[in-house]
Amino acid sequence: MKAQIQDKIKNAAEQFKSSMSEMPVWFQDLFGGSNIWDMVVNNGLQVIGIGVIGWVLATWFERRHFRDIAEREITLQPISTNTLKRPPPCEPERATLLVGSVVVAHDYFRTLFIFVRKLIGGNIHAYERLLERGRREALLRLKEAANLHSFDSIINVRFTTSVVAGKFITAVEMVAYGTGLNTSQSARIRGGELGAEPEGIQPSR
Amino acid sequence: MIITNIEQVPGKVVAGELGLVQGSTVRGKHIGKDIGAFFKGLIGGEIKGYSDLLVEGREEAIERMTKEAEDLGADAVINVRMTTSSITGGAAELMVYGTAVRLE
Repeated sequence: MKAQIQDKIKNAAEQFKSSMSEMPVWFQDLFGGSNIWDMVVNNGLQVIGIGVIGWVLATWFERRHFRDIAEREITLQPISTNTLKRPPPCEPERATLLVGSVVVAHDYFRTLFIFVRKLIGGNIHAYERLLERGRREALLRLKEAANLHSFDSIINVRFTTSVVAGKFITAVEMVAYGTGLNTSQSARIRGGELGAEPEGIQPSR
Repeated sequence: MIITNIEQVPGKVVAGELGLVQGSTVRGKHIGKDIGAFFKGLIGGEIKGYSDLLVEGREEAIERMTKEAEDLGADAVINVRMTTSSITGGAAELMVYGTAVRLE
């Protein structure tokens, strides 16, 4: 029984090897057991091609995200945010803790250039953009939560950042939280799906 | 239960404080989300799986804190703070703490 299973495994391994030899060289390098540096040395052109495609895609998605953020920021402008510990003098109707959070990660291809940059030192623009993007998104989600529960101002906004280590990728979590206040009903954003009347929603985090 | 992160409850008077309350959870991710995150890493940007997971974890932490405050007989929790820490690869601790108070 044991010998049969061993034979089967051996056959499968041999089949895999024989099918590998029919594949292109760069594919063999990638999955055939050799490391990434062999692949770089043997197939420089393909590696550079994949790198460039990754670079272009990452930049495009980043720009799209920034455009999206800018649009939503304009929509949510009426909600005022500040870091004051006291509410404004007018009597607020209700107050609740609100949270907005996002996990963002950097892409692999541009990380290589960060590695080079770290040797020289100075501003790492790629990471600056990543953190800016995450923080603006977190603040926007905080404002969206406020709009959903019809709060018109958020006071005592605080930011925290933490590193979330996954199994394959390291990401950054951005959290923005503050106290939502309902000072006047008229300041609510009218029109659009964001301004929809919340029915039966209890104001909660 | 009113939860705020300022030192008072707007429009209400704090009658007395009942002490520190806290809630925490440790959340892990299942392997499917990790694989999804790996592919998302090719283009960068938001990792939805992790975002949702941490949002859920934070909600549960706030729920636990609220329960502790209710057990003390509090009406509100003020001056709430949040922290996140990564324990090992694939797990994060979310902690929420504040002061339980009774209102007039």
